[in-house]
Amino acid sequence: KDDFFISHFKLVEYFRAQMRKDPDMASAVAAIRTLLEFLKRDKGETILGLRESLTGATDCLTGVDSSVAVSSGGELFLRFISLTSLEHQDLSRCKKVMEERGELFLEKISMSRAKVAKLCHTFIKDGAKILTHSYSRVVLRVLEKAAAEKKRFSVYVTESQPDSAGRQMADALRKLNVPVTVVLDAAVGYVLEKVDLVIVGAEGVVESGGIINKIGTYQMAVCSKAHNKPFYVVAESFKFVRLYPLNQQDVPDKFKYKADTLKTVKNLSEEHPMIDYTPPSLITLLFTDLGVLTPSAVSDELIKLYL
Amino acid sequence: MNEEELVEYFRAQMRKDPDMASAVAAIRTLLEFLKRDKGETILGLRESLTGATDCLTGVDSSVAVSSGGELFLRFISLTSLEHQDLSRCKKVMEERGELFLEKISMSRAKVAKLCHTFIKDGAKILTHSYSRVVLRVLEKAAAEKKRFSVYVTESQPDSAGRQMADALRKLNVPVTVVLDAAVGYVLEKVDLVIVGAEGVVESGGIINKIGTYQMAVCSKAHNKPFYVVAESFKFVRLYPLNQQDVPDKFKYKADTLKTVKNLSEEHPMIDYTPPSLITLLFTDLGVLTPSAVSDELIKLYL
Repeated sequence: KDDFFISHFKLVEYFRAQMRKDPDMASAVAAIRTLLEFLKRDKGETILGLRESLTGATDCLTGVDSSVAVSSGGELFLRFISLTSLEHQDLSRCKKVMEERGELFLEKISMSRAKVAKLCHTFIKDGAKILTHSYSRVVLRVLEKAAAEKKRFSVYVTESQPDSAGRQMADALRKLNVPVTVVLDAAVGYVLEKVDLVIVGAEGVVESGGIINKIGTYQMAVCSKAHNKPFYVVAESFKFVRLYPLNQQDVPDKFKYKADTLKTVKNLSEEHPMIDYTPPSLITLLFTDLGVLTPSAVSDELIKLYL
Repeated sequence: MNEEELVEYFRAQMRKDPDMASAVAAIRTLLEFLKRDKGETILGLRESLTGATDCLTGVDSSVAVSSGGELFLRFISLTSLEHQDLSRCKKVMEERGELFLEKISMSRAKVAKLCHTFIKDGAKILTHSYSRVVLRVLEKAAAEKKRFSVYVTESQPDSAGRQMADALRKLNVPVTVVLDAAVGYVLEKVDLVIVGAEGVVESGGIINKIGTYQMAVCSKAHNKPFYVVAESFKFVRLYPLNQQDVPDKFKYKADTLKTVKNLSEEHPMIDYTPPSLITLLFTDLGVLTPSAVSDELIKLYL
């Protein structure tokens, strides 16, 4: 039992170290690196036991960082490494195969952001005014690529309470010499008549083709629809998650609130939710490393991933 | 009464009764100005009253002060001023001024009486920022022994929503403060939306605290009724077609307008909600649809 706690403690430590080392890395990627390391150090005797401990490790990491992507990324990692012939007699050889596949998976997803940026930046025309929400590293990457292609555009970014993450985004954009204006969350409807397109990131992409993202995304999508502005989502494929919410309440609480809030607070209805669900009818296109998808095409791709 | 005294009197009125609408305080100030004015002609009097209204708009840039002042001027002039003696004309104007003031002091109560019946027992209400009219309506509904709960937005940048929440807690109404960003999230849980207005425009749309427009769009998307409560002195002679048409002097606080050079860096304090998103307006002239507002407005300003 001691072993269990010590190993989980080390797991969390390793995960945190990974996040600190490269703040630009997606938390899901850090989680997958951690799981790969866990796999290498695991001393289990059976494949089934290995799978169970990996699932346990993923749950543990979700307890640290309650974003949807950590949960989906972990599950996809597990499926990918098991998706091979494990008919070897020797357990260590099976493990070696799994580790190799794990490294392959990690390499693939490390390139996903670049692929998304390559697909999306062409949709940003010269002179465009873009609206985005909160801080998203994928959107930042897309805008970096567009700026590198010598396109002139300006950005409105929402402040995004309660953590004012939008200001971080604004600072990052100023470093790229992109004209940026921080607007209040309440000013989204006000500013939409001035913008040409809306680009947001996603914390998770659900089966229906809708997305889970920072609170405020849903009303941005509703207002964009009302103003007939294209609403684009940029997300890597490891964010595709096996959920099918029909409304805001269907999203599990474990994703809605920060991990520490879930542990300490008794009455969750007093807390501000950190995310909301945007239905597929409000999304124009999703840019992923699997290609440019319409929301309806997402279910097909998701099934292929999880098969 | 010079500008400084005017501003001082206005500020004193606001301090004396924080529950009073700023437009009512402005009208009291204009009445006092009228009493103390030493002009020799009616035309001169009108010009100085207009000047005084502009001065007060420079202190408190809400739409209601501007519209209230203009309506006051029209109301007091809307009488036979064919007396030989200027002082008698002034007396008539002062009497009408007092009458106007009395009428508008009762307008909030009239609005509350009309609106509270639309709040059913067990209703969940969403409201935006701090509005004394909405507060009055909810007080009346609570006094009628109705049980309802309220979601109020925090309303950045001044967090006025928290003030509203505190006032509602004193009435023992269950209240939850939500983020401005959480309006779309919370709308599926509510039954109706009630907001105040800083100004009601000719088209039947409203000008109110920033965030009202997106609340209206989301309410429409969720098919929830969107009610506006406003007194009639807030009816203003503007016809904006979009957000940009609203004059800058209303969009930003008075001190911001004076000190800041580049207004595009500032957060606007208000936005415009078009009439297509509003279900009903509750005013002291009655319960109006947005299209009926133009008729009432014309009658007021004739």
